Amino acid sequence: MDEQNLLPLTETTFLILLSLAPGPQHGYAILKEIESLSEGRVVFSTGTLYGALKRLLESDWIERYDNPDAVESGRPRKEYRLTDRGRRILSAETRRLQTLLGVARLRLKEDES
Amino acid sequence: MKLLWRFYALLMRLYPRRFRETFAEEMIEVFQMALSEAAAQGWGSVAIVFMRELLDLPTSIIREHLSEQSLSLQEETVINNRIAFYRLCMIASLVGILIYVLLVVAPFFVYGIHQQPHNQIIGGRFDPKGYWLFDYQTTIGSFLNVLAIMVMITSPIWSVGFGLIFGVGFVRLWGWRFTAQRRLITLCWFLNIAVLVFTFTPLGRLILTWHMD
Repeated sequence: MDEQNLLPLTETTFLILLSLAPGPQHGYAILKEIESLSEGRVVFSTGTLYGALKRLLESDWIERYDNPDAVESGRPRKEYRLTDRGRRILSAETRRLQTLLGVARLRLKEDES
Repeated sequence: MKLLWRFYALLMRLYPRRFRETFAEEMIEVFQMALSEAAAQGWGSVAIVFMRELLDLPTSIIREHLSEQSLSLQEETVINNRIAFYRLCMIASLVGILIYVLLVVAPFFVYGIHQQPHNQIIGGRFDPKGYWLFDYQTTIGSFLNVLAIMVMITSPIWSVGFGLIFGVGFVRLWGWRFTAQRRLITLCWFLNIAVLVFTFTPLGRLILTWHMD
């Protein structure tokens, strides 16, 4: 499916994908990353986070795997990472936002001058 | 603190089974981590974290239940598309016929039996068609009789149509998912309208009122 048809993303989806862009993260790290990316404006509850993760997993935008290097309670920790599709969608959304931002800046400059 | 996350773990049981089996352990771990970090900043932070989770929980649980229902619906649609549709049509039609029998045929016969002399019923000369629901000597009575007959004639189609709609709705497959389903319901409505129009034609009127004379 064309990525353009899936845009625009919701803020929740965009922030989750963005938090996974540098590399795999576990649930709590995603929460903290989102808080940091939004400068404390967006704080998810675990219910909201895992609901969104579930939908992203179903859409095949992210994948879940066991990290054997990070063991928690005797089990490998579950981590999440972007799939190729997820990364393509994130790039497409970023481009869309960039274009929008460019137009907005231009319009504001015109207004000021 | 232990009490808080145990309580949270207990609340996890309210999520749908599939969601719980996949994510509950992780969610509890994340909640524990959030609580531990908040505890370092004091009980106020712990209260904020706990309240945030607690307040969001009902929405989250309802959302997951709805999502789970929709998912199982999709699975059923994909796996049993054709079989499910024909099964539904049969159930819905049976429901429709049952409604028709209960609401129209049974009262009509009961009314006929009520009007018929007892000895004629016993003698096998029972004819419910000969007894009108309303007194047709008056204009209103005649009109009501014609209306009643129209309802009786068209009600199987209405019943099956509505039965189909409600039957499908009852088993949670409503939503115009199948093209064939859409066609069948459209056909029911078309037939119904056709019969109604027919009752206003000279032939239709003749058939409806032939034994009123």
